[in-house]
Amino acid sequence: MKKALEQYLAQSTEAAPLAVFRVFFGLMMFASILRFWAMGWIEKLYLKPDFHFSYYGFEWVQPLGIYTYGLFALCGIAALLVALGLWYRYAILLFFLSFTYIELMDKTTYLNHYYFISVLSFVLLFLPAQAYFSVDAWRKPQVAFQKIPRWCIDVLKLLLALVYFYAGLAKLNSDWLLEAQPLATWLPGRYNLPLLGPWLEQTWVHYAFSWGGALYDLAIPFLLLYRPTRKWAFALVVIFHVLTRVLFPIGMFPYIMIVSALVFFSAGFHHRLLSALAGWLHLPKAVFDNGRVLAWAALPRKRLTAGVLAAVLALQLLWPWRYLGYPGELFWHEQGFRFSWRVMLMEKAGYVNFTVVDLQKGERFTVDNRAFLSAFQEKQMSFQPDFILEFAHFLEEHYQQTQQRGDLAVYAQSYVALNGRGSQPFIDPSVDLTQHRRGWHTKNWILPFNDTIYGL
Amino acid sequence: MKKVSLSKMIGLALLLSAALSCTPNEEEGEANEPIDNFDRSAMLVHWADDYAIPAYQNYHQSTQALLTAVNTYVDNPTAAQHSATHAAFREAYRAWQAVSFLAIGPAEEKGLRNFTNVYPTDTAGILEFVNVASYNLTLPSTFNRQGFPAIDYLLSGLGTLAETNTRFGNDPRYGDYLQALAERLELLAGNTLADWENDYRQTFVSRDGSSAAASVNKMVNDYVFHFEKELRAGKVGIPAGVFSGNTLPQSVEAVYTDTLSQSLFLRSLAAHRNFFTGMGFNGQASGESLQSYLDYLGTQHGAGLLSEAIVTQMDLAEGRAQNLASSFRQEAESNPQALLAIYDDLQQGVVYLKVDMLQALNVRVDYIDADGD
Repeated sequence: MKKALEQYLAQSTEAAPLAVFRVFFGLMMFASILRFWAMGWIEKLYLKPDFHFSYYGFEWVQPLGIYTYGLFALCGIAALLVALGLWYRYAILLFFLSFTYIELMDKTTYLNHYYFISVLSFVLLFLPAQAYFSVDAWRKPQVAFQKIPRWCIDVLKLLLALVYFYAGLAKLNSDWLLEAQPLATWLPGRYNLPLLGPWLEQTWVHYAFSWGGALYDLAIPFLLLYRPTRKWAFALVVIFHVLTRVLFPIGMFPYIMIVSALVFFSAGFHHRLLSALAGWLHLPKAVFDNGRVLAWAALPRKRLTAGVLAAVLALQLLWPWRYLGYPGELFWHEQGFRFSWRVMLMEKAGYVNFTVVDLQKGERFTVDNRAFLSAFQEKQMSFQPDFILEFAHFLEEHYQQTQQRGDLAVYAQSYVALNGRGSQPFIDPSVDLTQHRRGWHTKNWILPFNDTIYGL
Repeated sequence: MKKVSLSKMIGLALLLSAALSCTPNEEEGEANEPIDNFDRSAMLVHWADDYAIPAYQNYHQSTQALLTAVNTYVDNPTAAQHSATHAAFREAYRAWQAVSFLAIGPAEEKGLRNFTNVYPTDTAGILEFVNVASYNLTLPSTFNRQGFPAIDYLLSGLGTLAETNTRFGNDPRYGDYLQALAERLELLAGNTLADWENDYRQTFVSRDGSSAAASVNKMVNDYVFHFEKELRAGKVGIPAGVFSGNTLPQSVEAVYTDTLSQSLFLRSLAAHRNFFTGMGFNGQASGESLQSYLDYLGTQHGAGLLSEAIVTQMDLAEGRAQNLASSFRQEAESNPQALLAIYDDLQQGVVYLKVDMLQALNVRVDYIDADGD
């Protein structure tokens, strides 16, 4: 066993696929940052709101006021440096830190693909992605290698495969397969798309998309890994992600996935791609084809690297299953929902009102949420219990400080509708939320879901 | 050969994806005739022709009548003229309720509601403007010194009827300000109506897509927002003390006339219901509506239809309000529980509208734009 592992680690392969991945990853990230900036979202999401929802344990990560622009600039520059392969280690470290900091500033904006980018950039920190077709390798021949350990590329394939496969597993539930929800809610709303529009109101189309989507997610890793099906699998990747791009407001994610899937192709393909790129831009490519092999045995800190990457992979494998530790319906209480590749699974909407009771003065009043939150924050809060609890704690503190009040109780009256079911009460309205701590323990003040969703 | 076709395929695919992702500009695109769908265009035509335009016509006429009455009263501030002016004021204020939630297109551009009905009004600010006799009523800082609440104060808040008439008789600056307010109401109403009758009707009807900028989305957003913030909170919740811990009787709409608040509330509620159920403004024409849209989608709530649950909440609130005094100020002072009960009915209505209806109609809240995944 140990020997097999040593043997596997010692295998080497062409560095070109990793170089292509680095270039595209860097460019995509740079474009994403520019787009985010150009949309005015930095101001809208991070500067305008007075209050930000924090991940538990990361309350210290807050927007930096006007310097938030600087943070985005740093992140964009780092992404560009990654693409160029210039000062790669520092660039990817800076990118990982700045991007992750941005994502941690407010969990209102949580997206699975942002999390995926953080994971990828963390892993890239340990890969010799600058060994080939990079400014670093061009300037310092001693760090230029044509071949690198094979696992360096396998680890990326594995991460991508896990995302798809887990996203597919998450779709194996009765809402998705038997009710075609939430697609049956979403697709008709796109009725006026050219060509596709008229079909999107047909019930059979909702089912076809649901089943097709689940099958796609479950099968695509294997179809991409298996050489004879790879080409067609990639065509599927393109069709699938373009379709999601057309149907849903999904930003850069489809392009990132399409480009990432290229890593499954052979070294020969990547060499041709780089030759073409080098040709267009009049860059030398031959200098990188030096035949030098970066051996596993020669890697600095290889034990640390192996340990960290093994831990990342183990976490990726196990972390999505933590929801099993919570009683009740995952889609309803969302404990263990994030960071698990549960993508496009729910149409959930809610409405929440907070009542503050001044226990000394005996006064009670209802809060205007919008006085503190953006519309986007209020919407996201309305169906996520951890947001509701955090906001209740904020209200307690706010009214104690600004109105010199003593002991306060905060109650939430809330309704949530999930996947086309009618709204039903969500949070126990008799529970004083200031008496409940944030944390990983079960939130027993969420009312039970009065229906059953079968499956994973 | 095989390898080349692969890179070509990828290139083509990326090109295709770029092209497709750039196309969806639903507003301008030719709307394909869907095979089996609710006729949103018919709903928009109904909203424009049977509701919005006649409602604005009626509102504009009422502001013209108010302006005429005000001019007469300012020339001759007698009890009889005051009575006629006040009647015109009440009529116009009621007419306003039918168009208040149409905060789309021209009304949105002009900030119509902000210039027409922000209350409680700033009485000290009004007296200051009267005194200095110099003001620019187009400034956002003057929202709470104009519109119906300011006219309400000038007609009914300065003292007894005799005192009021004396003030207007002795000091022309009062009449000037009152005329400026009535003129501004009439001007804004007339311009909004003209916009609807000229270009906006066509724009409104043609934006029959499903994007955030499309008419159905915006109208539904405006409607729900108004129901929640103006009808539920403004007219009932705030005076009843829901948001403050103690009642705020002076925050009632038309607080100086005092006997008008119940009737304004009922008008507004009826307007919300008629719009929802597809009744035309004149009560004759009926057409496609949010109700028929929900029913077309078969949206249930519990054992019944969601649309019926929504109408029931409005009926409940109406029934309670009809049993109250004509002055909600009086109710807020002596019987806030009655207002709270109406608030609760409307609150449940907000849940149905905002959670269930928006979800069923797949309406995106229009001020949110961010990526999903």
